[in-house]
Amino acid sequence: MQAPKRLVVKLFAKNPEVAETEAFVPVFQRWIQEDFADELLIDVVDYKHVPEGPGIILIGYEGDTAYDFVHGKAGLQYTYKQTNENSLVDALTLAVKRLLVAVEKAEREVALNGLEIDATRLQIGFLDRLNYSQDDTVVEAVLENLAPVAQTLFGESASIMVEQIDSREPLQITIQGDRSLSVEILTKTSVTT
Amino acid sequence: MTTWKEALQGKMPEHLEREIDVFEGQMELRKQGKLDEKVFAETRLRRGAYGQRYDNGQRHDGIETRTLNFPSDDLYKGPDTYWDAPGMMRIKLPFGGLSVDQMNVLADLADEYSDNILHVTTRQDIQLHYVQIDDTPDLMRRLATVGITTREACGNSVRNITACERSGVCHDEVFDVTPYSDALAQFLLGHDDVQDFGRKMKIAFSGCEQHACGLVKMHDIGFLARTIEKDGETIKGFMVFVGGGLGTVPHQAKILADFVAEDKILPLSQAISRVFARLGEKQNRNRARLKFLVAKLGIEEFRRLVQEELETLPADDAHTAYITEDLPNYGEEPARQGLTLNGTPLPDAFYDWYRTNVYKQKQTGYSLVTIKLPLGDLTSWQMRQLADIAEEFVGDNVRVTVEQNIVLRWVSDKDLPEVYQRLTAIGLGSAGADTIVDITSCPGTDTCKLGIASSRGLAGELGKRLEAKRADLPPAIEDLKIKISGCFNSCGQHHVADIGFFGNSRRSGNHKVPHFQVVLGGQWQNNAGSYGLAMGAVPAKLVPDVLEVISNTYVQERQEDDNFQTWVERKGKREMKALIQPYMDLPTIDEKPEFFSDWGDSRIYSIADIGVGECAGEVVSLFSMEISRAESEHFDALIALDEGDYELADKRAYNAMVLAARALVRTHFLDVGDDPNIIISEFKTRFYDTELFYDRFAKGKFARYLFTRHEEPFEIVSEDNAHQTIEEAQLFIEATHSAEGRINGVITS
Repeated sequence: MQAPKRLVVKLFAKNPEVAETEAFVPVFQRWIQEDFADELLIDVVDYKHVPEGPGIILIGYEGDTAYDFVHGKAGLQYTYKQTNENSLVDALTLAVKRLLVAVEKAEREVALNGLEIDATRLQIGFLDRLNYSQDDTVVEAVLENLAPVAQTLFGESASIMVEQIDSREPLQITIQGDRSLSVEILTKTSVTT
Repeated sequence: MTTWKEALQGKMPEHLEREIDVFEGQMELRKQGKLDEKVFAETRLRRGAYGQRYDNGQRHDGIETRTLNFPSDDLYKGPDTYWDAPGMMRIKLPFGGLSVDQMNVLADLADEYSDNILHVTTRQDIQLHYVQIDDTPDLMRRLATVGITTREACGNSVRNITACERSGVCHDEVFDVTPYSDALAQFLLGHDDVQDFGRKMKIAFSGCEQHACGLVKMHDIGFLARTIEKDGETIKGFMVFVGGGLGTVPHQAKILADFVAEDKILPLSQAISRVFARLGEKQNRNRARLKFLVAKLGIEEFRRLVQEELETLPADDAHTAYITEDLPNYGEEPARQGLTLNGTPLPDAFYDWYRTNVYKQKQTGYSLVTIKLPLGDLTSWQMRQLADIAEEFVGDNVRVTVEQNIVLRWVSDKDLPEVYQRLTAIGLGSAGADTIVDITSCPGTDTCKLGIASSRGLAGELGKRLEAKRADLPPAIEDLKIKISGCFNSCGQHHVADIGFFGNSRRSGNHKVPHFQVVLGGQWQNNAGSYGLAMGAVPAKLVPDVLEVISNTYVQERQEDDNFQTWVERKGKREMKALIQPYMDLPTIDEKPEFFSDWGDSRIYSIADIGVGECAGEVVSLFSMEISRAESEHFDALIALDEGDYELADKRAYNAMVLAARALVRTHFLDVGDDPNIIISEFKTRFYDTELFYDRFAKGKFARYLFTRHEEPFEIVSEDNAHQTIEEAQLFIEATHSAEGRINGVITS
């Protein structure tokens, strides 16, 4: 299945109360200085003034990393904007890997005051209404493609849920696992399309 | 996979579909190197696809300036603008009008092509940021399906035509200007006579004179609704203004005609456009707006030329096509019956919101509700939910405003509590719309290529502090307008605020410190009735303190009949400046490192990689002393203007420019002396001809202000002339500060 035009993956904060939202501004600005990612990073945007908004975004060329508050749920998110991979699974794997790198780095940031991210539950959004609508046939195909990936990454008992949301919103799926996903697991695991 | 082009074929108006296909073809030609990058840049701009900060592939990350290696490599979408660099998409909404379908599509576009945020601008546009150029044709197609075009949203064209958001529901309006603004927008869109301008043209409509309304006096062309009685009949028409504008040098518009009948405004606009295209400046962009042409020709000559043009204008049915039998009955259809609020149970905080965000329409039983958007932003989810609220309560009667808010028109009074609750549930129920806490700001350094300081960062900080004490704010300051621009270009409309700020910078040691000029006494009411004047620059981090001292002093000293403008006028500029003077001193980076970073930006400028010359300290000290003389002279010019001595004001402003030039010349040539001819000649040879004075965007623009005033002094100095020289002197001094920093070794920009 060909990748959607844009793909967004999010892991939720376990203890969002410990970190000030604005603390992400200097953190992300330093990440640019350190050139930490394997992609081009451009700028940091501050939307903390917008209720339940995208929070603080580290804008990149291929993707944006954000401490995001959409629907009132704080979490780290990666929006993969240039899905050059051929398949949904390849694009998803790369997006998740980049998110996990950011998560592990963020959890080590002193300025974030012990912020922890729950890596057992992954939310996936398909920002491509044309090819990834909420139609049953599309949803079925997506689930079929993602089921093996979910089990490989999150364990045999991983479950996939289609979020029941407004039909105008992008298709959204959540994978709940019985173990925490990490860069190490992802690297060791062979995810194939 | 299916493409939007395939999916939407036949679902767009034919002419829009064709235009978008042509644009996509031009993109392809550019990629193949068959279309010049400058030509493509103008084409792109005229489609609303604008550049954004860092699209030249350079970014200072707080330590050093680094190259951003965009994958497009050597493919450019304009001079010095990488193809792959994210840009901004400006979406024109004539008179700010929005329908439910349009709101839903805009929301989809924000999360599929942008960063999930829709930004409302001061021209009733909506902007999406971080958009890839390759996505723009599909984005335009999706807009076209709901009747929106981005055509001529940017570039040297007629920009979005604005109108008061209360048109048609306002108690004081002469009549509803909406159908006229819409007719003119449609008529001029893509018209042959508006394709050859040297710069953009901005047009606005107002229904009344006394309110801010459409701000017609700060527009290239402004239409103010009027009626006259003739042979026992009431005839609708407009007072027409021309040559107004903010920008770097603000001009108050002149009256072109006291009354132009409703069926003559389209041909009149066409005739003005023809005169502007024919005689307006084309080579020097900095003198190319209509205001400069009107100032140069004088309003009488300009009027004569327009009249001459009108007489030879070919007949065109389109000139009056909108004057139909239905026009007198033009109006919107409310979605619900207008019923009174009485007896409805009211939620907590409703009254506070009702007091500031609800305007009782002239139609009984209906209100206009203002949704206060923080910094003009809302998320795609909020926009979708708002579309639902609109559909249920007001239908398509939604508009965006020049104060970066959204209004719901025709809300039945009975529904107000429920609307309030629904808005609150989606984070859009904040009280304080159009008050001191509702601060306007341009994008500034966040995304604008020209931004000097963080206008949004400052607006956010001031908003947060004011919001925290909103309940205790003295009533006298509640309705003050605060407007902030990130540079001198006035996109935040700082000239027409009670308290305005625009970004600049100053040097301390080997670093620059973000500053804001304090502009006081502008008038938002009376259609932007008068412009404020700059009082002095203060470090960005001290702006909240400056705001507090100004507002506190106003509260203490104001007399019964005072408003902010009359208080500023009565107090006088000398005393106003004395108020902010204590905040103008600059600490060193060791004393106060926090002054060396901007609002919302953690990066402190470093001196680690600067090569400080042997004489740098001395040179800096000398320049600082010299430039302060220029600033004092400029201030005296302001006083002279205040006192009505225009000749003296003009002379002092000119002297201020000469002194600033001298300050710069003396960093290279100590013995330049005091003769203006020699100073200007040395300045020209050393800094202008060598382009050392040039900055990346304005080039030598501000130096030419000095040369022009030196070579062609006014024979008779009018108030407008004096005002112009003072504004130009201010900009020249700012440019001298910047040039000195660049030339003599400041490491940050």
